[in-house]
Amino acid sequence: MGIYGALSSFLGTGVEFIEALTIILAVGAVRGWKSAVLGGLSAVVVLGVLVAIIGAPLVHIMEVRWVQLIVGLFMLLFGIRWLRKAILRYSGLKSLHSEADNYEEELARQQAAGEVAQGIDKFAFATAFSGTFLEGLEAIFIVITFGLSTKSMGPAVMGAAAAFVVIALLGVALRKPLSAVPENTMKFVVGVMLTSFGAFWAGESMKVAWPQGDVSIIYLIATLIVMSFLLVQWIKAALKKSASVDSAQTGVSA
Amino acid sequence: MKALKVLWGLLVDDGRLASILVIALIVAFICAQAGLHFIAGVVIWLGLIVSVWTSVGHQLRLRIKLKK
Repeated sequence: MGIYGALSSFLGTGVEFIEALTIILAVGAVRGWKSAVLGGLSAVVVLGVLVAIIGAPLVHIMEVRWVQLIVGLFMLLFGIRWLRKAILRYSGLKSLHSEADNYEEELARQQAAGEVAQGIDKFAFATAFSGTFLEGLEAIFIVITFGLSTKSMGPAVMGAAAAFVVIALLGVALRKPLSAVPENTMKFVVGVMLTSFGAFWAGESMKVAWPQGDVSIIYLIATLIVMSFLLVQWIKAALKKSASVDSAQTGVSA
Repeated sequence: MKALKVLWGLLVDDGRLASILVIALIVAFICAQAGLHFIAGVVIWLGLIVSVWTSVGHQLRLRIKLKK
């Protein structure tokens, strides 16, 4: 019973930790590791405090649907904005080489919103915090459910702790290779990830029946990648056609 | 109110994209409440595609118009 509880908890929470890690890695690679890691760790601390104070009744007190709705909407709106910008850059509607200008523009906007303070990117912090908080909360529910149902809370907690360590080590290992990915590619990946997770969570909060549960996130990711590819091809062809019409008209008038 | 305006400005670049997305979410919510849970998922899925496609398509039209 103990081994079953530990293994179930390891696998169940492992999936949630991977989802949280995906968000932290994606946000960290684009907006900065310090704020992303700090956001993730803060969520872990808050959850730890909640569990220490409330314990198992947390399952009944915390309304996951509201957390899913708020975090889902935030990630969806934020993610789709990045996805759109990445598509515009890939297709040539926005310059790939105007990163410095964009950075200045973004920084000015964030400073106007009081967003950049003492080196902390509030958006990166909030995204990593909210994603980790939601996934962590789900992981806690899994541990409590498995622990209580198999009457082996100790092994279930151990299983979750082991999953946390394994996934954290995976994150450390993946951090460096991710930094080598070109900026627009990374922003595209982050946009796709946040949009997919956000849409999934927003849907979950509304009791949407996603086919095969969490696997739907992969379907959403695949859809967005295919759609982006088709959009980029369509725009490139349209721009090319427009340019050839322009040059033909110039030739006629000359 | 000011905080909401700031958040809206930071999150939303294109009103066209955001409004289609929000409408899709509202329709999905209504579908889910009516017991059409699978349809609600399809509405969100379609909402993502239509909103991005419309927004980027609009940018393309603006660019072509600007060239002329």
